[in-house]
Amino acid sequence: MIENQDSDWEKIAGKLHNELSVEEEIEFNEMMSGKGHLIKFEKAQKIKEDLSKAGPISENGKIVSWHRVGAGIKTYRLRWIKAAMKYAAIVAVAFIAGNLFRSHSSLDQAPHFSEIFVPYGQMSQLTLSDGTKVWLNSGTTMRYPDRFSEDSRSVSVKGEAYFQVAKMPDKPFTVNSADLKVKVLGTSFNFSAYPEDNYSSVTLVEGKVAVQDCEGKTIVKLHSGQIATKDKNTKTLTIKEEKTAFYSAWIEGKIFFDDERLDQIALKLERWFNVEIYFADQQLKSKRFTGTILKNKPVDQIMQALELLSPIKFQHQINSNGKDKITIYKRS
Amino acid sequence: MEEDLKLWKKIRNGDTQALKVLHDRYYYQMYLFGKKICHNPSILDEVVSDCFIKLWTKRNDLTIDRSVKAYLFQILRNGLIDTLRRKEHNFYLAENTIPDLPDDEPGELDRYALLYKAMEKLPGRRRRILELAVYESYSYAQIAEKLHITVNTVKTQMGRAYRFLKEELDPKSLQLLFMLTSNYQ
Repeated sequence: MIENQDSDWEKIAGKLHNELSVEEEIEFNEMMSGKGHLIKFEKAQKIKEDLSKAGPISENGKIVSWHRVGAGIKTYRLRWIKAAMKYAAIVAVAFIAGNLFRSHSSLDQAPHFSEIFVPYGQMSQLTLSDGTKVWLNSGTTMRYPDRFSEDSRSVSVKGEAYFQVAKMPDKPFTVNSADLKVKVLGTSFNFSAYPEDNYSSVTLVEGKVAVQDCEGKTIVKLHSGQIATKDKNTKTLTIKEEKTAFYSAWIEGKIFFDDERLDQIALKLERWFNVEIYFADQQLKSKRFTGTILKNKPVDQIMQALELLSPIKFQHQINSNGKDKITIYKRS
Repeated sequence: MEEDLKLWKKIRNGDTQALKVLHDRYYYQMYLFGKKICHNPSILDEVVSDCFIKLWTKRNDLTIDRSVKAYLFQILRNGLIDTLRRKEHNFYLAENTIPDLPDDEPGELDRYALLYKAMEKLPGRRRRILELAVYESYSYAQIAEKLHITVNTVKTQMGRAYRFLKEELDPKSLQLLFMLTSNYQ
């Protein structure tokens, strides 16, 4: 009975996502003539439609938001208590004693880890319990404790993140990934380690960081403006001087292109705007562009900007059943 | 609405737990409404949270006797417009007209909010698979490759995700009725 239900639902999901083989399509049609299945299918269809209309919301959005509210009302309370202290020392003493007691009892508990995943087409920003600010780029997962331990701060990242680390000289901050570790005391840097990319990199914007291997052995110390890239295949680490604005611009919703080919740019636009881009003229693919794109503008405006810069024109075809299509032509 | 006013009374008495209940009740609706005005998720995130901080800090000076929900949506809309009109965020302001505040009748925002509350209960990986398929229009094969799992797993997980959401959204009494009738077949 349960197995049956499972395979019914697999067919419904498969139908909705165009994943049925010819045989499965026949099975699906047979199933739909049975009692109650049409209602199930229509409900599933409605769910898919509603999800697409509402759009992605970060999995941890609600929890992160409440953390922020909690922190916000706490500082407000502290301010109030400081004011009260002037008038009533006893209140202050009681508060400090209460606070000590609370921090003692919390030492016994193991920290609780949270994981945040940012879907494609989205970015997210959060503040960790030590005040460190983190911006997470599309498709990034970060694992972090709700509370850091007494002597160190450590998080793990899969994807790309920009850190503004709160300064704490006696409590280093470490970012871990499958290939690299970064250890810092207080600084801003960009960290990129997407599993599907063939490299991991660290770009230092200000301050000093130590790049380490997975065992924690320091490979190199970076100065601001330097980028360290580790090739996953050759396992070699290269250090270069970089325009750091290039690596931190994404946190403001901008994408920089530095002499990049049009077909590469098209790939990024396809991912970001969920469209399909075709080239009517293959020669256009190798045209190169340098410039900035704002991720939050409609795709048409971006294409218009590209039109101004080069001898291309585009046609946008709206497709209500799937992805919109954009075709790029050569302008005569 | 009655429920909200009870919570508001508790909040006025300094009950942070009541504030959390109110936050969790309206978070998704406010986020989704805010998306119509603001295209930058990190700005939107902060402004939504700020509404609850404002509600808390002003709790002794505010008189809300009609609808807490209406008040929250109003400070959200104003907060977003104020933030976005500041020069540096100007380009995130949606160009279409500012949306009307939702009325108290249940509407599309409430339906989406229920859906997201059901999504919260999905196991993490199942949710990820569904999100890649729905929001990114990934094929099953692409999802399998990205998450290092088999296409068959994707297939099973997709079926279970839809089944779970459908059952979660169905009114409980109807679900019971359905179970009974299917047993009698």
